[in-house]
Amino acid sequence: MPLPNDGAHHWRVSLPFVLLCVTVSRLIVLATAAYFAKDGDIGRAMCQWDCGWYSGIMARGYQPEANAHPAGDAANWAFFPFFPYMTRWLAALSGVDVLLTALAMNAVAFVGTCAMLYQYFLRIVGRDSAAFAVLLFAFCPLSLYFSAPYTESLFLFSIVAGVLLLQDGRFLMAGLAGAVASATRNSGFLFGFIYLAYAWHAWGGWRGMKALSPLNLRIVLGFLLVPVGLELYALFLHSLMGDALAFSHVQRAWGRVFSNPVTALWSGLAAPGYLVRIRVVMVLIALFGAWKAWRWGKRGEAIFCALSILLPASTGSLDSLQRYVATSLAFVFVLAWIAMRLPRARWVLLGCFALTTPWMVLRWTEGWYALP
Amino acid sequence: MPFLDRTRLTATKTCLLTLIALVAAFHVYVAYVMATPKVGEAYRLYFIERRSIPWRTLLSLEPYRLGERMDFADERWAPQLIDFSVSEQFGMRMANNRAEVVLNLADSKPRELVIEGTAAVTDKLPRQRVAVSLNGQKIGELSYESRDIRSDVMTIPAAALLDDRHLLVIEFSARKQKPWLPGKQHVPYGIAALTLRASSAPAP
Repeated sequence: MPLPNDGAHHWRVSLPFVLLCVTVSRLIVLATAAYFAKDGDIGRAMCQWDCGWYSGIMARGYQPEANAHPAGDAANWAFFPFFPYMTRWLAALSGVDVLLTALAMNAVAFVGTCAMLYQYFLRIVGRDSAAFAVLLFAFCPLSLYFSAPYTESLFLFSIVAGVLLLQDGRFLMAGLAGAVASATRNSGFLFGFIYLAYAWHAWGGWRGMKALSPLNLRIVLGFLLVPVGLELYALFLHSLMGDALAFSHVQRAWGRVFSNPVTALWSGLAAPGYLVRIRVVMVLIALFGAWKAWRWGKRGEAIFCALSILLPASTGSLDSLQRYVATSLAFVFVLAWIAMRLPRARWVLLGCFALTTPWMVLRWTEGWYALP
Repeated sequence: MPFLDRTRLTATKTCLLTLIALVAAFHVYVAYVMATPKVGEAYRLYFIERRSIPWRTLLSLEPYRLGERMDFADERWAPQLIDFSVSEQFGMRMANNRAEVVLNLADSKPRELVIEGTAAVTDKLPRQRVAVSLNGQKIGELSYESRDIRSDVMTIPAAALLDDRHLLVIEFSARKQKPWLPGKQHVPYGIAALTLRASSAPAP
């Protein structure tokens, strides 16, 4: 089936519609949280699980030594700085509470991400399916994480912005977007794989790579910029407590050790309780999305999708894997495929999502253990 | 103007090449910093080497003076015996095929290690071999062919104490061997230690 490639014409036509729907989806999430919030404090209601770590960084910065958790071995070094510091600075500028600032910033970033995702999928699956894929994404239960005071929203924003910049051949700017991603989450450096795929395409193979042209030099410089965000954080940690890799080493406090991801997923399927199995199924669905990306010629994105999921699965723990699925792009590829190939099912799915998400938000505000 | 175009092109290339060199040098510097952490011994053992000693234990270790006899049955040393069983009549056996003892040296570096112990030797398992490592470096192997209690003296090579460490991790690794005991993945037990002494001079 030939894929449409006439995106530019429809972009302006449908953008307001997409923005409106996505904004409505955020309002539904926030209104649900506000309705169920104790004392009407929506910031506190949405601040669950790891948000405690982020709000600690916003208030007091990074810890010089590990002393949290009952074992006393946990510290906030595992949580990357771009989101909490951005929130802190914006809150200081605006004079608004940090948690409310985080909610607003994430909501705006999510709307921006969805607008960019629409533009991206427009060139892959066409106007109708792209719009529907973005709608499904905006209303899906996992979109909860893009409203909570977590890093997900800014991370996906920087990744998708980077991909669009690469498509436009703006490699230096794409490298900077990658640097933001790597300062936001530990898996941000994986954007380098997407970058390499587009660079390879721009070079046109080995021969184009050898020339010392300004374009090639920009491509190399942009690529070198991608891990800079992570490296600046590493240098900060080194100056704070002496270990530049503390963000990785402290994972021990959460029981994470490197292991075979296939073994971890297999044992997850065999584990008692349905929640772990649901996570494994989500991973399998996301891997299907990575495969679809590969089939649609998006090789870099496919590798990014697969590694973004398999890397956290290789830490021996399947906790929080649903959040990695949400930000891996693979999930949106699956939704785009559904929107294109299953025109009736997509309406059913949209209805299910729209009904389930408020329930998920309610459970989130209650601190349900399945959602961190 | 072709000349101006060429000049501009050369200037752009020079600028980009300089930036590439700077960012590449930054990467090399960060890689060096990552490879050379400046942290305390407790942090290194727990977070970097991922030793199984609990973090809080590492931060509050009883000081050990050279020549002191470390009785495994003494409650005082209990937190420093990792993956050993509870005290039994023949000593404290390894709970699995690997166990550790941590010493927090109060004074100078030891030259030898004296281990008094025995091993679970049966008809089916006529021999037990237990490798002994100090701070990750193998310093010897204990081989048991009977249940008799005996003392083994091991010389500590200078290379095992090269860096300025005060925490010594003595690791016991029992060699896996067949036939495996029913219901167990590996042969447990290895050594059943009674006492340990690290000293700077030969035992009296």
